Amino acid sequence: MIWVLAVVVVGLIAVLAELLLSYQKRAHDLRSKQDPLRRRIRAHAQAMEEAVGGIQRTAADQMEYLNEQLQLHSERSEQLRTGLTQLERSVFGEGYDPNAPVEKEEDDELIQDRDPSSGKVDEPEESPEDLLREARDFHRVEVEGPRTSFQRDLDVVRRTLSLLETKIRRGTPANNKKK
Amino acid sequence: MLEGLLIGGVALIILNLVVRDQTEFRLSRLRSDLLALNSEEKRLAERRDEVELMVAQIGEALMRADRRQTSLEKGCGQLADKLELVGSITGDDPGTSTTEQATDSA
Repeated sequence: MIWVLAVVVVGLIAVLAELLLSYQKRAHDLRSKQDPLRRRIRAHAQAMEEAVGGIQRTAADQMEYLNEQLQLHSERSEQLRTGLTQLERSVFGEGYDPNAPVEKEEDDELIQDRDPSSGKVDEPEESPEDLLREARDFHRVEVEGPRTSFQRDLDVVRRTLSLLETKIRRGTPANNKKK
Repeated sequence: MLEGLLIGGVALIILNLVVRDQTEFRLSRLRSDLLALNSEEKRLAERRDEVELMVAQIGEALMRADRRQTSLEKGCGQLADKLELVGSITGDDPGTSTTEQATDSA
């Protein structure tokens, strides 16, 4: 009886040792799996911080300059439009509507002006009326168009920066907590 | 002797049970930590992709704005020239003197 009990006690001690060893091994495995994850989390956080910091600095520098330029060019565009309107009034008279459709004239005559021997078209000297119409179109396409797009791009930058800041702010407490 | 072995055996059984419970508890805590870290890593990877996309969008928008600023400047200059030309034909002042000042200041 004593021998049986002694064997049972020794067996229980062996089970205890086995339990402790097994715990050590499994705990070590789990901890070793955590380390790469922690490293990757740190790398993500650092990369985001660098990317956001870099773009914020660049945007702050450029936005100041670009906003000044936008204001400057808006004023200039307005001055040019006023000058154009004044010239239109003096050439076409009061009550001229620059948006009214223009009747095409003398198309046939222009075609007949071709010089077959040289292969070139004789361009008639442009009248002030034509030049003004051209200038009005130019103002609409080459000045107002880029100005509107310029303004839109700056709005996009501002909105995206604000979204980025919100995203980073929202993510910061969770990152710190996990670290 | 017999009593001592009996008491020792019972104590060892109790100790084994306690150690097993504690071991399972600690291991389950480590497992849940690992899962939490895994999901945190995935969340941060997604957020990083989003942030990088937004950073690229901001960079592109800034470059576009810069190009448009240049073309706008050129367009204003060309329009001022056109107005000057019309003014020289008609003899009117197109009022581009102020715009020239603006060009100089730019």
